[in-house]
Amino acid sequence: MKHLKIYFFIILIIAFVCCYTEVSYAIGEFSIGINTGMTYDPNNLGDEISRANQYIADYRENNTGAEGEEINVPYALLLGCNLKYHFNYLLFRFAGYFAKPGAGVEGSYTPPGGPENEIKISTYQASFPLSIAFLLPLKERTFFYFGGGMTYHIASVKITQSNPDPAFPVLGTDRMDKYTGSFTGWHLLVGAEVPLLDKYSISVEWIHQEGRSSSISNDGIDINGNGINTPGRQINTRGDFILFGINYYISI
Amino acid sequence: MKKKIFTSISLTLFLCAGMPLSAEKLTFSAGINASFMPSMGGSLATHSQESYYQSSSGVDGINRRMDGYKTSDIERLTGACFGFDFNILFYDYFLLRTGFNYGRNVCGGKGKTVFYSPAPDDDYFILECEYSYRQYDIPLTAGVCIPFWNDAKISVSCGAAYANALYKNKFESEDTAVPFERKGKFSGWGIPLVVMIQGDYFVNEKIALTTKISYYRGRSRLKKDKSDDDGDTDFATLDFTGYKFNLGVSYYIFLK
Repeated sequence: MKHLKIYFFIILIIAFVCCYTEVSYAIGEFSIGINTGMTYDPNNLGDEISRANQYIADYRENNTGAEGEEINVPYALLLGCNLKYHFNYLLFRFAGYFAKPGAGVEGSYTPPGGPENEIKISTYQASFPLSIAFLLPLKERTFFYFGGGMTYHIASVKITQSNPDPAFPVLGTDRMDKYTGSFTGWHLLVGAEVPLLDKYSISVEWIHQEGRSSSISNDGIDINGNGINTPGRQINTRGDFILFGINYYISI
Repeated sequence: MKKKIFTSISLTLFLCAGMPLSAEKLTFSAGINASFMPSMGGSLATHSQESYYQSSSGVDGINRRMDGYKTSDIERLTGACFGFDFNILFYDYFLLRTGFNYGRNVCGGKGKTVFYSPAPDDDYFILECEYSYRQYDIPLTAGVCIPFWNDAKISVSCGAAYANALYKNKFESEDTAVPFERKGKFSGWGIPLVVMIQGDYFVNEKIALTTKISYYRGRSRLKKDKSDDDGDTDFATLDFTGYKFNLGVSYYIFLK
């Protein structure tokens, strides 16, 4: 059902483009581009990490002999590509990008006299936004645009702990909690594009996206090493993406 | 760490400053602006608010009402900011921007709520809450600027900022068995990502009125409470995430 909605939406967009083109007799331009950029806190784990850090710091402060190291909220590099079609004052854009924190998102705590519990968080997000934008053209391949649309997300969050302490369940007591899911969300897009060479242009874009999965089953391992599928959790893809791109215009 | 970041930013500025020298046309602009920032400091969550006042989401979760207790809503902070910025436009469309912004809360963040105090009280009491937040930041962004007609420009630029904040809170109750006043003071820095979308309208050849939306996203590492006279050690993260809505004036210098 979820996929049917996406197909229906794509067909609707294509139909709209075809109809509108026929009516306006406009000849637009296609371009393909590659993007790179940055995001902060992919999959929106910041609040959870900050809260865990507060517990770790308080634990270290109030338990003689306890140690703890806080977890960083990660930045992530982005890599992606996009396909754009624009004519008159409209821009249609389909893109895909992938974000994964480069540096390890790690922390730990050690109970007094106990073994160290190393915590690692691994996360990634692949997003496929389909956007319609209003375009303010200055001249050929020089324009400012803003719009929005739907986004299809594939996202994963994995939390592993080497020696979880049931007496201090800062991020649960499982050795591994792993959640992977795909779902749709929406986004807002603002960008500008200027010419670079004959058929090339440079773009700067900001995407603010919102998305929340339904409850995803755990593909994890409990403290005793047994496979588990609870607790479920939602993945929240709310975030902001800064994208710099180079685009190549295809002559039709 | 601070030294490394300072060196990196200085090096980037130096390299960027050298880039436009070969451009055919070069435009400098400097401007001043004033802005307001809704939800300054984010939720202002700290560990003590969860431990003592049953709020894991800071100011968002602390508001409660009960019959027989006179409470008042505690709103998120709204900040007023001012700042100045410098822009370099080169190769017709490309833009480098830096600046300085300072802001502090001007409304919200004060009120009364109800909290549960465990034994020996084992009852609900009025809690007076007060939050304050100050921050300054130095953004560095790169982007493109498109001139429309002769009297308007729209620019989009992205980058990062060095942001530094001071967050204070105070929680007070006089009705508990042992009246208390707990204070928190947190200061620290972070490198939030920044997006700026700006429109300039020229009132004459060199002076433009500007409107700008800035969006910051990022937070500091965990900070320890620096108020040590209240017997409570708290922890918090300084959140720089939020929008700033700016109005300002810019002065342009065109070099050919």
